[in-house]
Amino acid sequence: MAMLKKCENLEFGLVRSTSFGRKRVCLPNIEDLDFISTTPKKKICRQNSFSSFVKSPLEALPQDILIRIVCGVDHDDLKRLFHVSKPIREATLVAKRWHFEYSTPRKTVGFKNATDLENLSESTDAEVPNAPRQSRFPRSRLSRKKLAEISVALFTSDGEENWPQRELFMQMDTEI
Amino acid sequence: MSSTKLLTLKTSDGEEFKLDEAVAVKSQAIKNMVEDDCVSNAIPLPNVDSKTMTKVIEYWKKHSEEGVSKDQLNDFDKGFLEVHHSVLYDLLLAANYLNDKELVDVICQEVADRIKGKTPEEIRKEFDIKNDFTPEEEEKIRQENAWAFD
Repeated sequence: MAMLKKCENLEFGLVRSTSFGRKRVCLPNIEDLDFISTTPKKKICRQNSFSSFVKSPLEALPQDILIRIVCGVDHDDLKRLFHVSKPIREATLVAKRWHFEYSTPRKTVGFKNATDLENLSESTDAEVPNAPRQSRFPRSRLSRKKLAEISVALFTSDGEENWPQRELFMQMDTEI
Repeated sequence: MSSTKLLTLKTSDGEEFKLDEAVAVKSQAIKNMVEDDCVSNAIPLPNVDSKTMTKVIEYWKKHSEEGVSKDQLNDFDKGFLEVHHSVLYDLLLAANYLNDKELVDVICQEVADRIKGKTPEEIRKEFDIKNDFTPEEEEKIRQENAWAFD
């Protein structure tokens, strides 16, 4: 009885109490379940609450357009865009995942002298940093030597000297 | 005699623009309406104002002209896009609403070109963006970037 009273004090209305061994648990009425299951919503505190309302026109654009814009910059600009602001950073992350991870960065060259500048324009896309080298014909990864080590001939060949076992067999024959 | 059907487009501020259907269908949204045969009256464009619509139509007309070389078009585009950011954003939103992929791509690239090569501070200054990172968050990003991009 005393326990019932205790449960009532918790403002659950009519409660049933059950005991699991030594522990006594107050169970609320079914009607009051809704009240209990809805926990108070967490208040999201923002440090700079005012700045979040004032968005620049660029950030106010729909995110898919912002992502398209970011897809148009160079790889190197991505690093810098990360530091600009939170909405820009989010768009940059998405653009990086969708677009930049499937494209090769352009080569940036340090100019040695003026003549290099002229040659650069002709060969901007010729070499690309860290791009995997591709040979015209696929190189076989197995050399002949390796092949010999790992392969086993299953059928007889002309050269009988390659078959020490056969020799042994023949020797045994002669002995008998 | 060629039948050039004229379409009427009505902007958010009540102005009406008459345009050849062949030009107007650069907008996928308008093209869909033409195909669905619901263009008997003026086509309402509540998300586009007359100032922006004038510019969009100027672009469409130039890119529909016959006998214009690629270089001439490039020169036109350059001049067309040499406007303030706010005009570009309005154009971009209008092109997006009208679903003109070519125009959206062209404007996005122009904005991207304005971002290229700039430091974060320069980008913020150019586009009037406020830095909403705390010093701790900035440091965290710098550390994350170290392995992400090298």
